[in-house]
Amino acid sequence: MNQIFFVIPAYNESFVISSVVRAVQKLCSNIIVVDDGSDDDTFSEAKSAGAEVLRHIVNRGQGAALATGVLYSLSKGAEIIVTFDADGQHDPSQINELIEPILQKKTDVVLGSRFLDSKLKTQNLHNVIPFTRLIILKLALLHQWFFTGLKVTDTHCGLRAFSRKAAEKITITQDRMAHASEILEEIARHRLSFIEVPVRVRYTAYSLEKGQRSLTGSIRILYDFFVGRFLNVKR
Amino acid sequence: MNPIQVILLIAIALIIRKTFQKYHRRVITVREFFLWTIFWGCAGLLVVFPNATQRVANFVGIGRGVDLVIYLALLILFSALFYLIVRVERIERDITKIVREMALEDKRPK
Repeated sequence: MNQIFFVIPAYNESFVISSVVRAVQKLCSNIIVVDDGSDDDTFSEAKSAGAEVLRHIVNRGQGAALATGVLYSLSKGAEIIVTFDADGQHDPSQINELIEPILQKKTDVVLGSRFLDSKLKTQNLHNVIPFTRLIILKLALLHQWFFTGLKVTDTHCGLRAFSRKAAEKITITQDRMAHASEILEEIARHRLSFIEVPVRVRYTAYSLEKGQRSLTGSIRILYDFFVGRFLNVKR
Repeated sequence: MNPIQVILLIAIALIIRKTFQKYHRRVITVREFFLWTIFWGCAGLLVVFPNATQRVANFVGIGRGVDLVIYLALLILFSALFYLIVRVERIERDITKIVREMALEDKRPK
């Protein structure tokens, strides 16, 4: 498991970051936390929990932090890169399901999906994922399908795994949340293979407080997405 | 003179004064100062002689001179806005590059 790297972008997560790092440490020793210009003790908390911590001196957004962590992992010889949210919503015990298909060279990218889980489906979805967020996530799917032709069941899940080849090809230029759509676009552009695996999420009061709370957040994502279009002339 | 003309002229005078102060404190260059002063001067002339645009307006097929000014102003404003949006985004990306490079530099063996 030496060449597997975890990238955890974190912004003001001092309350939970150390427990997240410790939980992941049981599975993997290469943990890269990117402290995205936090105002709190995220940096020292993550460091004392044993992660390797990179620091953005000013806040640049989740997409920017992810890209920094991925670049660093690649420079350290990562063969598989797993991205993981810092707020504790992901379940580390599901990591094997994410990296197994890449280890077996079946696919380049594995995307976590909150909507594939059959258990989640039979449960009342609304109890797990707040209604407004559900609507927003569904609209995002439509938008994604329209612009990239990719049919996925979840566009904005933070739990993903990339092979080295995929991580080298995917360039994230979107600093903020629109990076999620950008990653899918890049997958389509480079014709990378991907599969989705079901993941469970725990929306705690804490993670809800920090997440995309409302429609304004989504409008911002759309705005970034379209403005980005004028700038992205990719090779 | 209409009240609106007086209000606009006062506003323009204040803007030109502000521009001069900026030049005086060397925030902007002489060239910028002249360009802005000429721009606002023209705006002032249009306020005093609103009919001056009439002939041009008639020539291009717009009924009133004032309308022509408004159309042109909107055109300039929107293209400036577009230019600014793209530019801000580019600067943001440059900032990210710098911040990222600093983060990675910290980790390199010295």
